[in-house]
Formats: sequence, structure tokens, C-alpha cells
Amino acid sequence: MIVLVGGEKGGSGKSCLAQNIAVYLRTEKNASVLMVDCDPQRTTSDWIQERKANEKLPSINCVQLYGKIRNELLSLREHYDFVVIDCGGQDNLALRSSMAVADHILIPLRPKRRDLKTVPHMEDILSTCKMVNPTMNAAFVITQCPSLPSLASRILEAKEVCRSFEVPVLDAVTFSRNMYDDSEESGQSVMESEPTGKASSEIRSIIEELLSRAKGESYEPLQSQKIHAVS
Amino acid sequence: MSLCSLKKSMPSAKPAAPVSIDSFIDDALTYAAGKPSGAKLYALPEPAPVVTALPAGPMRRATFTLTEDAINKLGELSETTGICRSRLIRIWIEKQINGEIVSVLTDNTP
Repeated sequence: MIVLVGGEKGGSGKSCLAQNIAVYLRTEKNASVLMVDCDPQRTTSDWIQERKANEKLPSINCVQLYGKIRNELLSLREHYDFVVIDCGGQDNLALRSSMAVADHILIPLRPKRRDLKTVPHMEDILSTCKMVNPTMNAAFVITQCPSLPSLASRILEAKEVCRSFEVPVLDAVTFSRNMYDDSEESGQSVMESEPTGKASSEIRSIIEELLSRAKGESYEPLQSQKIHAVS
Repeated sequence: MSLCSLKKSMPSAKPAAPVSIDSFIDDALTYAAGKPSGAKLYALPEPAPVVTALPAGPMRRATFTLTEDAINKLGELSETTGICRSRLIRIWIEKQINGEIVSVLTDNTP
């Protein structure tokens, strides 16, 4: 199964999501997982290197692939339970190749204008992609949300914008937390740094909701993430 | 400003023809080059009509009242584009009639 974390906007937390999802599948689902780093910035490759330096952490392999990688991905899919792709923040050959074969596509966006302005183009790509990959399960996820109650309306508005383009958006979100940065610096995931923490719940909710959507199942969140606008 | 202003405001156009996997992937290069992407499914507005020839009918002189500023700007436009002032006005009228600059009519400029 191929899980793509990609999109056109840089800085929306693609690498962070991909890494944490990979660890979740490896450690909590006991799946064989390969990470594919398509970002020339090598964020995920460097994180894997940090991770390998710590023998206590379950090993995850990573390969770097660029350009037209469709055939390579199809081949890798045969050897792993999950291939998790971290695609850099631009519309390029690697992103399109991955979208053409992915089972699940997760597109992170921050609740900011500059991120939401990429939604129309992503909708265009997804609409066309449906013709070549009709079974794909694609969804936006709102990331790095502000935790101030007075800014909760931004999260709800961001979801409304995504829905207006008729692209699903997950109920689950991630909030802006230091835990994501702290765990990444040591090659860990948030589930390993703080297994019962809020960040861990966010990651579990996101991937479980995404996978449930593909099965047509409704998803009961692991932790209540009710967001109320405060005027 | 509310993020809701970014909601979809125009319907998507359906793709005209089936797309192959290769053309879908290669389209990323077109997009990266800044050219119109094949994935662009929005209905694009019709290109503006270009006034190339003189109108068939006879033309005559007409006098209208403009501000000094408007006269200067018309002159600047004429120098920049190489199109004479009378023709610039005819192009503007043509576009107004075709409904392309309707918003200009609601302007409060004297």
C-alpha cells in the first residue's frame, strides 16, 4: 500500500507527518514500512540517519527517488506493507508519479491564506489524477493549527475552503506543538517521545481517519478534537 | 480577513478528453514552465477581441469632456502602446459593450 504525503506548499509539515505516520505503521501496526524521500532537501533522509544512530528505535529503511518514479514505486509496493512517500512542496514529476499510483494521498495545509491558495491547483491535479488512479483516497489535513481559542475560527474556515473545492478534509488536525520539532531532532516520532501525549493522539487520529475513509468506514476519533469558534 | 474569501467561486470544467498516465505526469513540466497546465480544469474566459481593422462604416469627429489628468493618461497610454488615442477609446468602448470591463462602470472617477 502506498501512502503519499505531498502537496504544492512548502512548510506545511509534510515531512513531519510522513515520518510520524511511518513510525505509527511500523511500531503500532507491526507493518513493514519503507520511506521514500522525494524532497531534495533530504529532511526525511537525515531524520532516518539520526534514527539509525539510536539502536533502541525500530529501524525504518529509506530511499531517495526523484523524477518519474512510478515504476519504482510499483515495484517497491510489492515488497512492503506500506510505502510512505514524503514529496517536497512543489508540483513536479515525483509528486505526479506518486499520485498516479498512491492508495492514499494526504495533503497537509496550514490554516493560512498562502497555503489555502494552493487548493484550486491541487483540486485540478486531483481531478485529473482520478482518471489515471480512480481508486485513490485523497484528503486535505489542516496542520500546525493555532491552539488559541480565539483563532479556532481559522481552522473551521480552512476546512470550509477545502470542502468548497469538493476535496475531502479530515476532521483530525495537528496543532502547533514543540513536541513535533523536539522529537524530529532526535530521529524519533512523537509516539516514541511521548506515547500518551496530545501530538501522538493527533498522528494516530490522522492516519486512522485516512485509512478508515478508504474502507468507507466512519471514524471515531481517539481523542476528542472538537474545535469551536470563539467570537 | 476571513479565509472564507478563498472558497471556490466558479465551477470546475470537466476535462475534455481522457488523460494518459504519462501525460498526467509530464504535465508537471508544463506547469513548472509557467505554461497553462493540462490539469487546469477551470473554464477559461474567452480571449478579449482584438480591434485590428478600422470599422467598416464612416467615422466622424466627436467632442467629449475629459479632465486634464484623463487627457494626459490617454496620451501616455497612446505613447506606451503605439495606438492612437481615438483608437484606444474605440477599443475601450468595444470591451465595454462586450461586458469585459463592467466593473469600471461602477467606479466613482469623475
